[in-house]
Amino acid sequence: MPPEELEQLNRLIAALKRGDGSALDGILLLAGRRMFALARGIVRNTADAEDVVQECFLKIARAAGSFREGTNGYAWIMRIARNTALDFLRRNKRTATEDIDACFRLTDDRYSAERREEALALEEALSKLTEGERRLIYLRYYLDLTVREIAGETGMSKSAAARELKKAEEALKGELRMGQKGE
Amino acid sequence: MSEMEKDEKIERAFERYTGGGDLPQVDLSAAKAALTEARTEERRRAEKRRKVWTLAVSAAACLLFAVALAFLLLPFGAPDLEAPSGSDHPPAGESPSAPEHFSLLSATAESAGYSELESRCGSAVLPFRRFSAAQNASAQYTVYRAGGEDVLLSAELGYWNGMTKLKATVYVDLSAGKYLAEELEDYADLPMSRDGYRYEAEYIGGEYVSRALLTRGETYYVSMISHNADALGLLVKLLTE
Repeated sequence: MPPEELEQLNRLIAALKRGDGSALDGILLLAGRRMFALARGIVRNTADAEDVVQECFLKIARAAGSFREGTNGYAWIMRIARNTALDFLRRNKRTATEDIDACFRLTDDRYSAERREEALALEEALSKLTEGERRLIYLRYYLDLTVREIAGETGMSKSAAARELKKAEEALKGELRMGQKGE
Repeated sequence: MSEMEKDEKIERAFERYTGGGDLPQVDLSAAKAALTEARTEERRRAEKRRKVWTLAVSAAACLLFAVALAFLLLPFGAPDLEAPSGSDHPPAGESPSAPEHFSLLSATAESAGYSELESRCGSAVLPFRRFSAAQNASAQYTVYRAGGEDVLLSAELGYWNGMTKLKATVYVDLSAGKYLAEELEDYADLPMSRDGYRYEAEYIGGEYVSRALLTRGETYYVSMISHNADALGLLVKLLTE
């Protein structure tokens, strides 16, 4: 999320914490698409993903009081979205595991023609990475985790996580360049 | 080590990727109502904390006054009392420390099966054995982690009682009081029942919304919604007998 949008999102969560319900509309506009994309990737169904996002907003409203100002509001929201989607799978007796590859298969007719081309190129480039590299990219760019948090998730040391993430980023950029040349 | 910057090119590509579709169809009215409810509850708790604090400060002030008065009066003919040996006051610095709070919403959560939990959580999971083994019951488990350790187990239980299927959520503290989920904090305020555990039931929209906090070796937080007023008592019996 670009810094100016993140700042705006953090301000909206702070307003929500003070009881301003209209902040929810702003949060939906700023983060709704990304929450929906993540939910759709995890529950693998558009209607279910909408239910998950709906439930997320309930949780966000209830938990706004516990949000620590000065921390990353986007990562907070995405973590709620991720946990809610996994809970949804558990409730519906489906395996509650994240299929990261499904999170990287979002392109459909909801995308405009121009965006669809870009999205397909990114998906193609991601598919060329190793599973481990895709996971690191997912944690960093989809969930907005910090390197320290990624280290905690993957069981790596912080320096190893930073090193591996850098390698995954270079591999992805390489694949994106290759894709452009091939066009 | 300073936090590593994101790669701008990849960040932009992801911006366009995850932000490429339509906005989801979300009705925010329920969330707005929940916000108002949460704010009211927060104010109620703050008021309660303020009252407790005021009481504590008043008690401390009274104590200080009494001690000061005793010091003033003792030199004027108070009997020479020896301090009893072997005082049972705990040494300074040994008061139990407050639990560290975490949120269920943002904690790392892992689902697990009963057999895995037996080795992972020890005796804390034993009360659920019958729910995992029975044909007419179901149980789904989630382990919450904080500070790199398992701190809370949640069991979503479903079981048949006569013609009615009852559903309940039971949380078990795995951290021996070191961590406390914010969502479970107010269980400690529930009134004590005659059965020796904290319990409250409210009749809302034709159903009993019941919660209980009990300690039987481990600390259990139980919540359920049922048409049956005795359902929670029955569940507690199943968990503890």
